Amino acid sequence: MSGAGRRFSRWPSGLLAAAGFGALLVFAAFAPEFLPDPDPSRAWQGPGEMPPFGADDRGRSLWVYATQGASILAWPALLAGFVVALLAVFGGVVRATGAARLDGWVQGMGEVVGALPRMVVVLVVALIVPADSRSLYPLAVTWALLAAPGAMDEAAAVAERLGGSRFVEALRAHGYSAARIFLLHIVGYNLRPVVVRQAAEVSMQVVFLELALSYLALAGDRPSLTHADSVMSWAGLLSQGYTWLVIDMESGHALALGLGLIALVTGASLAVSHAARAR
Amino acid sequence: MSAPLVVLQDLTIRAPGRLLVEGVEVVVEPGRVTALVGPSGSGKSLTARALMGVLDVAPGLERGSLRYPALDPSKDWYDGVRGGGPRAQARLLEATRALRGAYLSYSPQAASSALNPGRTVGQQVALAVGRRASPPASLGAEVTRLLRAVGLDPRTAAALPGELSGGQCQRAALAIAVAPAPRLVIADEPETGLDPVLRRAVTELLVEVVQSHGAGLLLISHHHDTVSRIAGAVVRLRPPAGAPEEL
Amino acid sequence: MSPPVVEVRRLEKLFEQAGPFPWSPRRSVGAVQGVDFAVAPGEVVALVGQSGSGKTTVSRIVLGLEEPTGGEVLLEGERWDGLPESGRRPRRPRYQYVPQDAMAALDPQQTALETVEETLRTLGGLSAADAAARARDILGRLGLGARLHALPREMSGGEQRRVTLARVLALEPRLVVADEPTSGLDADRRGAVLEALVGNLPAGAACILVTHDMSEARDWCRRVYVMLAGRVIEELDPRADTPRHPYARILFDPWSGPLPAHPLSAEGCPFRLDCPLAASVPDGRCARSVPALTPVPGSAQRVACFAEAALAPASAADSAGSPRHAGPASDTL
Repeated sequence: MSGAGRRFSRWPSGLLAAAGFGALLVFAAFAPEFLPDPDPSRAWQGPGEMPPFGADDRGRSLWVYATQGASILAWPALLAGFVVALLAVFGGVVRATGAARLDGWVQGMGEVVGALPRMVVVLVVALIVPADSRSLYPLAVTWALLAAPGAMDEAAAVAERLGGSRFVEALRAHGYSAARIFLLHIVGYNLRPVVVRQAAEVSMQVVFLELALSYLALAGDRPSLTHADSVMSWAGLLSQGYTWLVIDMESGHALALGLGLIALVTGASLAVSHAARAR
Repeated sequence: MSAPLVVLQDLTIRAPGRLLVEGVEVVVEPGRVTALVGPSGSGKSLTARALMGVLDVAPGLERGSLRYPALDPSKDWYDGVRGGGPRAQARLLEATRALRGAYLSYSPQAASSALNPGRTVGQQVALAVGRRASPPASLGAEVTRLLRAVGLDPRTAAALPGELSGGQCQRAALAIAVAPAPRLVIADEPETGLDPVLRRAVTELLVEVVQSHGAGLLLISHHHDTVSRIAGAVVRLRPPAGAPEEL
Repeated sequence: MSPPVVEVRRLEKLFEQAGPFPWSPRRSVGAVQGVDFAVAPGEVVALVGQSGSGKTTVSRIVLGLEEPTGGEVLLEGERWDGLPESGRRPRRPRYQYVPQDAMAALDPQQTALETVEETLRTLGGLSAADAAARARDILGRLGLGARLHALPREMSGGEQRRVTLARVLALEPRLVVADEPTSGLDADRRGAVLEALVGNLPAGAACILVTHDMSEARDWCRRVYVMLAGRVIEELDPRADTPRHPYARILFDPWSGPLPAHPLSAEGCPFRLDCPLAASVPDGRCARSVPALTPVPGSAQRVACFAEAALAPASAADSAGSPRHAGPASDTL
């Protein structure tokens, strides 16, 4: 396959990823600050009667769920991805410079952090956060830090396979600047696939973390750990939609929307990994 | 007249679209050196691995017979593998597993990737020594002796393969190959990356192993001076017709 | 008369010993203790020696990848050692390096064409179109015309090496230092790689081959510097002279005498414990001082030895010369 051919095949995935993430951020931007007032006469109306997504058991538009849910998780998930990406790049670059002591320290820290039970740590953090400033941000960052060692290891392995410090030295001897070697070759061409994939995975994991925590909170009729009570998470869609499965209520459209949003996030994550893949 | 250590006949291996080796015959007698020579792409490493029961190409073995007369005069190890494809070859791999590292040993071409990166050189040599029928009283002394014989400083026993140069890894792999006092040593280009003086040292070690233990040696080498000095028999491979010219 | 491309004077590199722990970082062992040589434009010379002889260290110092602890390096008449990296980088395209591990110098995400194009655009200052055309040309000349769009992992070892060569030669350097360019390659491929390197050097370029393969040095170089324990112990023209130094003799033909069994000596001549000529030197001079490079009467050859037999005029020593191989093909099978 020619060089040009290789590059062009990434465009569809890139566009898909951009569209998916773009949609997510647009939803987040349009989130109303509070839940609308209930209107029992419109309970469970379908998308035809209450566009665009229909209504919940209290007659509130599911559009609110979609947008508020997005606003809860969109930026924290992206932040988590960004944190992992940064640390992965760091891990890879340290290995490439051949700074043995720093590399050893990084690996040691990674082993300690990697051994921690993630859910326990996340829950501890969630319980520490004061009740009136609940948000997904601290949990997302915590999750990212816990996931970082794995990403750093993978990036370091890529740097190692590249030739590590011998690669850097050979290109330096050739005459390339350190910026070109590290930013373009090491990070841009070689670490990119690993870093993007890890970041996308962690972002997705944060989304699922939020859904899981909120769902459990709803099921237990408790306040959520990830958002204030005035907004609804996508977990609400799943919770509402659950009744369709179990009691045969007419809430199928809520479930469909919930699953559709999850598919959107998953699809965008897969698409961006595919677009950034290695040759 | 003792039985040959290995008799390989009419070895023919097929890859998709072409033959990799055709009609190859290799015999190694105890106390003798057989050299396997030929240009790149002629299938030397493939033949050496096939001789150990390691067939990792599909569709793979088409014809041939493999016997270790000194072990079992009648058994043809390729029975049931000819034309049997990857599954039969995997079975052969399992069946011959016990032989590798004991009856025969292999010093590979790309030594640094064949060594266990997680264990020190000394540990790996000691493990190989432990496979002898009658291990020596002092393991440490034997490890030191073997390392010295391949021209390595005994202090490299404490080093991990990743800390050694390519040439040092090559020699460590050779020490591991001769350590279990095998009946048959297969050395795949053992002189790669070594300077002329070390090449001679390594060649002399291989000869010493052959003469003092009565082992047989299959040597793959493209160094004329080594082969002409120590080989009793030479098997010359040529790339089969239709093989691509690889530069 | 133009200045030599490379001039090395009293070069010295003394390493601290690596720590006593086995997990200490790996260091190159060779120290360099007083090396002088010069390479004129158009010359191809070899630095030959076993691992630890210092040949790799010398080549790295010449390239500016390491700093010497003493002495000077001049490239094209200008001081090179001690320059800060900012002073070196603009000149680096003229002094190129072919590393031992060709794969380590290639970006696995770039095709052969992209690799050479980048070199020409970034270091050669060419436009994208010119760079593409020149890159195709040089890759074609090295026999890679059909592999332009191949990634390194899709290429054989020889092809990878030739991509590295293409990128180096595309800059039309004044100096090429090749570190064991054929290591790990089968004998039949070695000639092709050296042919590609030496055959495509720009006119007037100097080349230093670092190798431990004597036949390579003999076939491609006009001068060979044999190194041992950080010093040059012999300088000769491999086509006209036979080696005189007992160690150089063994290096050229390892089977010509007994294998060295002793470690190198720290005092006096490093080879004295294994040297067959040491007994013939009066006053135990070999143990007390290090011999300097002395010219052999009647030729440009120089030997670092006290023994008369090594320094005898050309005709007498030739009769004791080591057997010569018939030519490049004889070492291959």
